[in-house]
Amino acid sequence: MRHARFIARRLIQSIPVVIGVTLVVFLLIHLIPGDPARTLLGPRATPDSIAALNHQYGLDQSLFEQYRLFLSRLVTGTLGTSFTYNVPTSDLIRERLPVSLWLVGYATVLTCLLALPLSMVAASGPGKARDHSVRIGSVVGLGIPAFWLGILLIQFVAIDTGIFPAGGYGSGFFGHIRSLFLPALTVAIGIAPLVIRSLRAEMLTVLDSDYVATARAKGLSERRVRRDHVLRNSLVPAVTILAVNVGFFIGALMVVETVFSLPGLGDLLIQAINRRDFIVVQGVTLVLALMVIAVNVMADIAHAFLDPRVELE
Amino acid sequence: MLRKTITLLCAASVVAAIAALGGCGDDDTSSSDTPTSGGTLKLAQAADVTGFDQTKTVDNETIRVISQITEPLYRADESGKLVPWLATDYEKSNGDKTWTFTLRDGVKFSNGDPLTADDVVYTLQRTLDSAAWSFILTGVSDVSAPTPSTVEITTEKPSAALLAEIANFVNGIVPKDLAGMTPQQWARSPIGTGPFMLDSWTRGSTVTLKRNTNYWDEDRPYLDQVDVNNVTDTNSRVSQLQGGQQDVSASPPLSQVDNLGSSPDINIAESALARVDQLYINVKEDPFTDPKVREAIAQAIDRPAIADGALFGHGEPAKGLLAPSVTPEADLPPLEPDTEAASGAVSGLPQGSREFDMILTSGDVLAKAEAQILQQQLNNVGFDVSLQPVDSATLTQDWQTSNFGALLTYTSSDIVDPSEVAGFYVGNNGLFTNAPTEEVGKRVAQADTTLDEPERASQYDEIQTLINDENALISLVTEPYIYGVRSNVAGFTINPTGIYWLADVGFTG
Repeated sequence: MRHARFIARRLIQSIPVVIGVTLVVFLLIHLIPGDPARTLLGPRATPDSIAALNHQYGLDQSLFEQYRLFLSRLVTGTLGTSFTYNVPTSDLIRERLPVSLWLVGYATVLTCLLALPLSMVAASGPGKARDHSVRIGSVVGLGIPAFWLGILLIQFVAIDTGIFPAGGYGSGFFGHIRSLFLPALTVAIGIAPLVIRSLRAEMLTVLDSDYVATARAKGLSERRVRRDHVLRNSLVPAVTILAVNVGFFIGALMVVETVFSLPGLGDLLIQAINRRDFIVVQGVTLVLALMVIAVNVMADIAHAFLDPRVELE
Repeated sequence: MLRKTITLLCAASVVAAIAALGGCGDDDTSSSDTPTSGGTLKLAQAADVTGFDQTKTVDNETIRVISQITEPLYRADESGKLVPWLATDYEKSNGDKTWTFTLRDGVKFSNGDPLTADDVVYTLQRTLDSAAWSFILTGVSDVSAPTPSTVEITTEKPSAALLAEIANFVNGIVPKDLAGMTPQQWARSPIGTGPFMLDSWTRGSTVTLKRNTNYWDEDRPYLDQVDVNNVTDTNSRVSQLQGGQQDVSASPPLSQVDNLGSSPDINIAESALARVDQLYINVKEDPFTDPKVREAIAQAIDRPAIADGALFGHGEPAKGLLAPSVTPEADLPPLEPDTEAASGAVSGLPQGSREFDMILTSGDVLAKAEAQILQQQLNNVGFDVSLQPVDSATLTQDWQTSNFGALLTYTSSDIVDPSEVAGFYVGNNGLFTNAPTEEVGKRVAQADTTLDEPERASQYDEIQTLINDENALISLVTEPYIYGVRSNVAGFTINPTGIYWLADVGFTG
């Protein structure tokens, strides 16, 4: 109940943020050159047919009027009709959202699977070879551009070994697991270093704390000390780092989805921008903004779970 | 320690099991040239299909898929020859202004309904009413069905291009009244007489075509199914072809074509020379109002160097506006550079007349390569050229509103006839260059009513020469459509309008 009230409050608080995001995107997409009518009708279009199509889609109205129309549709729960596909934008988003959610979730899981053990290995021997190895590996991972890493993984893992496909979403649960492994790993290699850095630093601080010394003095095994006391108390800042970077990744979905031919929201956004399908651009941006907000809300709930002293307000 | 080892081994086993469960792979078959019946072809295209209403479709990827579902009366084969298809013959009368087509017997739509002349009339009328494609039947004044198996098309004047226009994909025959569907329903569930029918469409991902069991050619298609996959990234398309995830892959980078083709697993399929890359000069913008500036630009251009450096040998220097595939009888001299004359001319120009920006499409590897070579050639004779990459929608807008000084883009034809591109040139102020078009317009109008082919070819040579002499639309190089094809796939061809024909495609072995 407490969590439900917290989530509802955060969603209400996010409304001005979302409206601000949609306004900025609306202005940007309308101000760049490029006419959706010309894109739709092709190079053979006459001035009359271009004008007629612009009128049909309301593109000859003022920017204020067009934005007001967008907001009024939003209030009634619709996102408008795509110029390109001539279907409701909500249908396009509904088709593509699972792909992006899978990718974001899978990448988050892989990030945790990479970051947790590597942080513990590094923190268990500060200044030693294993610590340096993890830290150097983290810097390398952080410095590799995602699209380049994706291309390398496609060439040297997908093509050369054939274990994973070179792209696509796959079908069925295990098909998605297999098809999305390389794209999720691409993302995880970029985010994990930041989580490792934060988690390692926090673990080293916690390892020196009095309650850890007390736990050892009580006779607990080192493994149990690290798992039950050190790790749990170190996770809170790392969760924040993870949430922020997953948020950044959501904004950069299009890079990974394009390289790996994933039919997700990022790919849809790129296509819509190239085609000047303003309605779809606005709708997808709105959904991506909501996803980022959702990630941050989940991070806050995770904080409360990990540290009972934290109150959900 | 032992427990840790066991845990790790179990984890590795789980990963391997998941990989195996989710995986499937096609076996490579040994190669022979005769396609066998059956199988699913996986074809990667550069963009998603946007809908199946052909009258509203302008993007190439959608056009190619629709062309497997609907068929026209006459079809352009891979060499550009117009062959009888849903019509078996035609006769001309009324001073060559009335064409009477005889429909092929036994043709059915994929829903089992027989093809009739009323369907043809409906289809062609739909084209004439279409905002995007009515121009393709310019000059057609009437379409009627005197009998259930004959169609009469009447033109205002004798037309040398009508057969090519009829063969355009937009005139692929659909059932009268769209078989009772609304246009929105039709756009998602088309019905045609073609070798394949639409089975499913996952937007952004895959269009699945299944064999049309009512197809009029009993020996075709070979394939049971085609999965047309949306793979927007060029390198991903190449990777997926190399890895066997795709059997056919569109438009590999020209720099990789030879490398791909040298692999025993991959062949390269090329169409006839179909696209012409051009530098557009706006004659109303300074410094290009001066014909000497434009002439110097044209003289500075070494087209073989562009063909070698940007096309990697997969193309040729262009000789004029029109691609060789739509003017196979053309007899034009090569456009030779004259850098000495260009340098001399530029040295006499004020500094302000030597500087200009060249707009090109950003992210287009070929355009960038051509632009860089052009920039070098022009700078070598004394110009000072800067490249200005913009995204494709911006370039299209700038081009079509003549909001440019110099702009690099290309033309290709939707029909295997010169009239379409020539008509655009005349109807759009010299393809937006603002070059004078009166004389060219008269000659194009005359050529398009000239039914004698050699004479028409000669007329178009003169038209192209006139356009070249204006130095506003400077043709650079011409290249084919290119696909990578796995070596166990036979029969894959592309016609000069860029449309592949999958009825003849099958797996070998």
